[in-house]
Amino acid sequence: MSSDIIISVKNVGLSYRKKKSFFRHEYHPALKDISFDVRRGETVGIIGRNGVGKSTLLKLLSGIYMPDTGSIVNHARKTSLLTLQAGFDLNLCGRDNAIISGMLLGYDKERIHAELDNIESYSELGEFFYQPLKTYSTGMRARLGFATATHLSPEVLLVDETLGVGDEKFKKKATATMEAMIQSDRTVILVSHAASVMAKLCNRIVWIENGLIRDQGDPTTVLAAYQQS
Amino acid sequence: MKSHQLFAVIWEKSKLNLKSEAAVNYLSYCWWLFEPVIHMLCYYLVFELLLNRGGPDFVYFLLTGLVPWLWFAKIVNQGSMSLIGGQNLMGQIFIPKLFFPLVFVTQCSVKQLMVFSILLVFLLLSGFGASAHWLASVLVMVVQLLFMIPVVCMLAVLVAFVRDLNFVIPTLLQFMFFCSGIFFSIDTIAPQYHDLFFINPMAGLIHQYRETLLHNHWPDWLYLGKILLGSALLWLLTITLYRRHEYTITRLVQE
Repeated sequence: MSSDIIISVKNVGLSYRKKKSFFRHEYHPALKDISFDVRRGETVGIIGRNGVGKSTLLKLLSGIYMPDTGSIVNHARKTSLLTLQAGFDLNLCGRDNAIISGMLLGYDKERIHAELDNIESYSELGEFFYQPLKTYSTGMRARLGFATATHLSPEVLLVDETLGVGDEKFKKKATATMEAMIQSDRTVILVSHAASVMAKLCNRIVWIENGLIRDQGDPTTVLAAYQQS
Repeated sequence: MKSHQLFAVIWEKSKLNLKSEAAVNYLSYCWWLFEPVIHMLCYYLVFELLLNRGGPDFVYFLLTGLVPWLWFAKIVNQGSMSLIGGQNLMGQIFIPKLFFPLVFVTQCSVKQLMVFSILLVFLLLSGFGASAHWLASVLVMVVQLLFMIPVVCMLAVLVAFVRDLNFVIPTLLQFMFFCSGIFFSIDTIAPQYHDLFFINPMAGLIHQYRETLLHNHWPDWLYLGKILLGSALLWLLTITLYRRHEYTITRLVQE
């Protein structure tokens, strides 16, 4: 059912350039040849060791990078990384930061204003919502970031290991929100090292190794193989 | 992101940057006024009192040159680093790269409006009569803005490609400062060099500011037209450059 495919990744490769000496560079391939499809409403998990290019892949899917080789066809209206604290300014209050963060993610001001009350109450910041960010603790900043990012989330959501922010209580709430988003009809691509989370949430797992796809398919099978390797 | 959304976010970000900048200082927004005044005072002390240059109206002559120059120098000097400065944000979300220099130009220009108004008030208080020609000086300002935008956007890309340029720009600006007739009049230059002198658009623009503000003359429309034409070409080049390197820039600034 090709009409159901929302993102199609074909033979994608990307190399990073590193400076070697005067006017000389060397290239380090992060991804060599990656192909997979994502269907509408599906949750796809991406696993692999550190530095195999998982985050690079998410940056490619969100349109931050263009692949050097191959192509990505994306039919979604909006695809973006769940970036906590995108464009935050420490001197501005929580409200201003939520507005600018939302606008940078491509939402209209009206849409953001409509969500502001929800962001304020979800983040549980109280009066601090109107105080400069520099007066926040790390956890409070994370809460504001998470509240903003999840209330203004796109059709295809890309998540890079962000389950769990703030204190225990908020962590539970955040995890519940994430799970609800994942289990709804939203399309989610998730990168995580937590095998239990992946097994629970994903419909399919893509395992990347040495810039190539080592295996993909049913979570239990692929995760078992990954853990044995 | 559609273009109206891009402009909205540029405007919002510029406003918030100004707010953020003001929030850290004790005197907050007063610095919009104090900073240029202190700067101008230094030049005045050196050229009028220490070197004892110029005639009785030298201070007005100096200020009408200095106000547009400081705007230009600040935008070029700091704006050329704007793409490098945006590396974190570029790695988090996709955003058209023109956003970064344009935010800087906008926030600087809002302050400039304030400084320019103060200059006009100062001239009025000093006995220069406001005339219709003053309106033309606003037009000169618009031409200067239209000229500076593509210049700083191009420089920002060039610096992203070759960081080393970052060391050259302040020196070039210094050279341009001495060649723009800020503290000397065009009359002190031999006539055969006038054409050469006015190749520098800032020299020409500063001359036009003085014509309109101090001498109640209309600006040289042909000269302004030439600058606009040159700027239009630079705009085309800038837009092509940003279109072509939209994704290259993200990778370059993170290297």
